[in-house]
Amino acid sequence: MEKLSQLVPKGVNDLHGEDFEVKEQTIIKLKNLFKQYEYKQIQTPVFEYYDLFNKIEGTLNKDQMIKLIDTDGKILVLRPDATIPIARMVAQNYQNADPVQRFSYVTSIFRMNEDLQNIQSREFTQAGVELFGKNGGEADVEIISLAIESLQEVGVVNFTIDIGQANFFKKLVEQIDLPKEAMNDIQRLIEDKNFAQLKKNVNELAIDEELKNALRTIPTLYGEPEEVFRRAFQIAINNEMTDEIRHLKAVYEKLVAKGYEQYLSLDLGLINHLNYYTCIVFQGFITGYGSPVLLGGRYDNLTKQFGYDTKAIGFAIYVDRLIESLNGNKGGA
Amino acid sequence: MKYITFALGKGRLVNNTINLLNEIGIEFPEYHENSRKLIFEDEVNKIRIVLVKASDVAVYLERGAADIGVIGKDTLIESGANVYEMVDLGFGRCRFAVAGLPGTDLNKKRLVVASKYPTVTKQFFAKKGQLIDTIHLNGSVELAPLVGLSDCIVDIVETGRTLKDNGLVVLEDICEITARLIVNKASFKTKNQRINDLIQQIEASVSKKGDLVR
Repeated sequence: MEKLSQLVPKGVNDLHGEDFEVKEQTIIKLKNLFKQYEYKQIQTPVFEYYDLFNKIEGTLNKDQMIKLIDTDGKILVLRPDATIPIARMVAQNYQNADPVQRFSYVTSIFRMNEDLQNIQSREFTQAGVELFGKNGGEADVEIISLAIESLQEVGVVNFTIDIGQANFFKKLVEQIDLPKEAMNDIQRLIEDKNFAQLKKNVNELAIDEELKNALRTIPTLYGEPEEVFRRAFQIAINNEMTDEIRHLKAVYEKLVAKGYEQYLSLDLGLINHLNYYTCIVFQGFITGYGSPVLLGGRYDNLTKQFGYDTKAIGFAIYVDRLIESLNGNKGGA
Repeated sequence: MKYITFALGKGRLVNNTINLLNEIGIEFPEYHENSRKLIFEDEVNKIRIVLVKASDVAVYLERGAADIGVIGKDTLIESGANVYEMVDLGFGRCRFAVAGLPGTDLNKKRLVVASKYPTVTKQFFAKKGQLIDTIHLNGSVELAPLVGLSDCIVDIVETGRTLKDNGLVVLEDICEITARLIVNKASFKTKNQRINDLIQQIEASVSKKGDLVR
């Protein structure tokens, strides 16, 4: 018989000796940077009600949440995401405070992950920031700049912040009357850049040629910025889409002016991560490392669902992945 | 300049892929079909290929050990890999099908299906809203209905000869399969220009051939 008393469950692990020290030092660097920009560190409970994550729109995959039963039969969830509880906290406590609030966190995230080869797939650490109450390009630039500085601060040299626009796609989809299943298929093909199959599926739809063209074009909107913006304006079928691109262009240009051009890339086919994002979305990749180490974006509709209508943008760094990528010395100095 | 690494699934797709790369001027002088080496390099273009088990290609990509992979659509669906699927290479053409003894009733309750591809099998029958019992085998799947292990099988069919020799027939088609060029999302973002150029060259070469066939 297996001696369970001597094993740890799948997807979690111990951290000791030098590994712990490395992680601790990385976290201290990030915390200091966040503090320097006046982000106040906060903490939310390790478990909360399932309804918190279940009732709101654009939440995480329910199957991935690790659930517990409370003594009164209510279902609890181990924190599957850092942002949703912070949005709840802000809505409950800061409605009468200064509208602009800056928060940071370093916290464990728990998910039922399928990737059983990864020893940290079910408990991992995220460090991040959330900026509430500021709309517009200024806040977007502040957050993306901080994302870039965070990676620089911990010693990453070669990395890319890939920027997309969730609303550009959402506003297009609103114009298209399709069964949810067919739309999900198309969304997945766009996300996978499966050009051949996307073309086939889209061509079979009974919708305007203009809409078809827009759907086929979205995954190709990456690479050289001028060209991406030019072609994005071309396929914009309403003012909202045009506005979103105009806004994105302004943010991009401000980041370039700050000297960050070498770290930036654009991809308007980046649409599929957490659905609560509403406007600018971005992810950070380190050269030679297979998965994103940073995810972020604007989520202007999230606090509204907790009864407080305010703007919000933030990002989270996957600390364990970041350290793994630095250990491989890939993308590092 | 950093190397760009291709992971190729060992087997019939390797020669096709190497020919395709040769066409766009990428050469692996040390490669020949009977070599036991698992890694070959084009030192001029800084391209490396590694030969791995087909079902491992996705792991190499997801973990960032390879930038680009060539993999049959069958293995790709089965692995559920989170990668960009950018080019349909057109070769390695075959199809997924449900097969069994002639006259097998696929609508019976609790259909037992044997397959090397449990994910594909479950997805296909789930889409039809049918509950099935899946038996995961690692080979000689055709045997299963013959010895009463299962009612039918889900497998890839190329010429149909193996089925015929064992007295089985295709009962229902599932989908077409061809080799796909898949790209690690991080590589695509961080080595963008070179990978983009490569993909475009490959795509051009593939579509030229497609035109000839037509």
